[in-house]
Amino acid sequence: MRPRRKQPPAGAWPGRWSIAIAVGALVVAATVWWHTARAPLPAASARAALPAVSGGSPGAARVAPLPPPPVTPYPVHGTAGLSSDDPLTAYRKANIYPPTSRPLTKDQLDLLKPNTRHEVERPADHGLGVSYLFTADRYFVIADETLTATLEVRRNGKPIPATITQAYAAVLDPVTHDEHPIPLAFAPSGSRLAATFAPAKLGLPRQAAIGMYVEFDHGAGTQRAHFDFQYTPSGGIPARFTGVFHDVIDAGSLVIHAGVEVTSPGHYVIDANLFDAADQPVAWSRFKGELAAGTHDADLLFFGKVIIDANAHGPFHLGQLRGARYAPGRDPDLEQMPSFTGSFTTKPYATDVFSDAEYDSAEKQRMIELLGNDRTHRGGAGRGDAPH
Amino acid sequence: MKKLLQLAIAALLAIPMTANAGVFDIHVGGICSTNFGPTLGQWAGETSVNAPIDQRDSMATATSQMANTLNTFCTGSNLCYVYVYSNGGAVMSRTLALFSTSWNIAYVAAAASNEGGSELGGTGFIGEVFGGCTLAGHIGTSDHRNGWNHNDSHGIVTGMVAGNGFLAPFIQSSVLPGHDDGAVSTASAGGYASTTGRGTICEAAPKYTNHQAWYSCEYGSLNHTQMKLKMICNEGGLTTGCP
Repeated sequence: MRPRRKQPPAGAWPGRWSIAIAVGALVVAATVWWHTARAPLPAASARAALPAVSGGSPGAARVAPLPPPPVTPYPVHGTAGLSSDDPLTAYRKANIYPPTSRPLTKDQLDLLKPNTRHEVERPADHGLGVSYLFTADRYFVIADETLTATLEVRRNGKPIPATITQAYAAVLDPVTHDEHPIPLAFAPSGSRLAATFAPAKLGLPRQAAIGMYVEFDHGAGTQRAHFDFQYTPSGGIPARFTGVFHDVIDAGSLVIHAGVEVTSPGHYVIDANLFDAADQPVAWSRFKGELAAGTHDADLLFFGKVIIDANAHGPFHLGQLRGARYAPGRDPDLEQMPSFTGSFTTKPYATDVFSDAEYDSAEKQRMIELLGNDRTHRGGAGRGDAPH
Repeated sequence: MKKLLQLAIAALLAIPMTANAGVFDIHVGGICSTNFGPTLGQWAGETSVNAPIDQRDSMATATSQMANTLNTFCTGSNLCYVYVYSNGGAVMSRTLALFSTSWNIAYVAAAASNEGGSELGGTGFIGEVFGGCTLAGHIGTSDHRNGWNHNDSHGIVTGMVAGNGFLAPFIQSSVLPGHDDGAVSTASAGGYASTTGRGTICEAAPKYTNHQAWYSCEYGSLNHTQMKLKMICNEGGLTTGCP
């Protein structure tokens, strides 16, 4: 007969062995926690180089991991062909420069001409070689500015006359959809028809999306077309650029402090482009942050390595300075500031004041750590399947 | 001693919840939807999230809801992969551009993205192809391309796949420049910075910052609807029902 295991006295649980096991497990768990879930690395200066040695507990002798091999940033224009980098490598290549301070080239027209619209000529519904382009001279309209809508109709590439059968504007109401047509008058303008619209006459209290609608007869049928634009009335302007700037070098980067007079406090996004002494585009920068009512500076950081890599020489000047207040819960939720139409030129600066160090931050290090721990998703490095 | 032991056991139980980063796979649907739909990608040990994003009325509403979703799942020690389809690509891009929050997003994987807007906006095809919701009439190329800075992606890479298949009623493809999947052009689905017609998403031309072609330069036989699950299938999240 097999002897029964001796049962511990009921009042003696937990015994010494149980306590030892529990404490041991706690030590193991604490060690795991220390290595996997400690707070992000201390916030690094935006100019600090990547750390070569990881931290450790005082007095502990730890072998420093080898630093990852350096990577080169993705081309400014993007990568032609397929990208096959693993997620960690892709993240590192995408973050050589800060997310909101990056290179700018003359081909990035979306940033160089931010108010240029994107409609394209399109075939009429009834075909027959008829095509049309219904567009306007801008997307954002501020205060007393006007919008000029144009309609150009062609058959087999050559302009043909068209007769407007309906044309109106309507302030879009995303809640009630109670939209009232405001008649538009189109008149010949060269080979096109054009109508100038002054939304200030509508007396709107705040930011609005306005639709422009047209119906025309091109001789072989009737066609409808439509586009929207954004309007900011004078009373709805959340802030204005003061025209006061000053520039400094901060830790190897150029920072331009742009004065802003804020009427409506809140979260602002402010964009600007930087050009060199030869008027060549160098960098774009974006301020994202809270601004209180009153006069403040929006700091536009132009990262040192971006300037170095562009081999750009000062004095530099600003262009396309624009911004908006983000008002979540409202629709439209972006209240536009009038673009700055003046100019600002920096001090000359010698090239050697700029740093060519790679961008780093606590956020970047946290992402590198997280991406290094996950191998399930391969992103561009995945195998995928054969093209269909 | 008993209290000490209880504390130790409680700590032992609590630590794994913070030590092991949760991985969440966020799925964002397309225009006129309120979520991604019934089929989500599934990855072992990870949590799939059907993001409640209302894309029926306005981009403003969708943007706020997208931010709320990211706030819920993509902070702390969590890591997110974001799978977007069609206009969900625009919603995600806009959210990244407007918010300053440091979400832990490994990458955005976009199928048939309408990030650059569709030329069908403003035409009679819009309701037929995208559905009859209000927002469908306001996702044109200027609405999306002028609407926000697509180059501000928080440093997050967006991988893209695009189709070139036929989609009823077919004739709308003549409105879309270059190749298209019947709803969006390759210029939009490939993250290009202009509406110029493109043959594939591998063409060398200016793209929005950190936007890339993944897996295939083009899925020539897949239309906009069929493209919905293509990226998820490529990523191993689905093994059945893949186009």
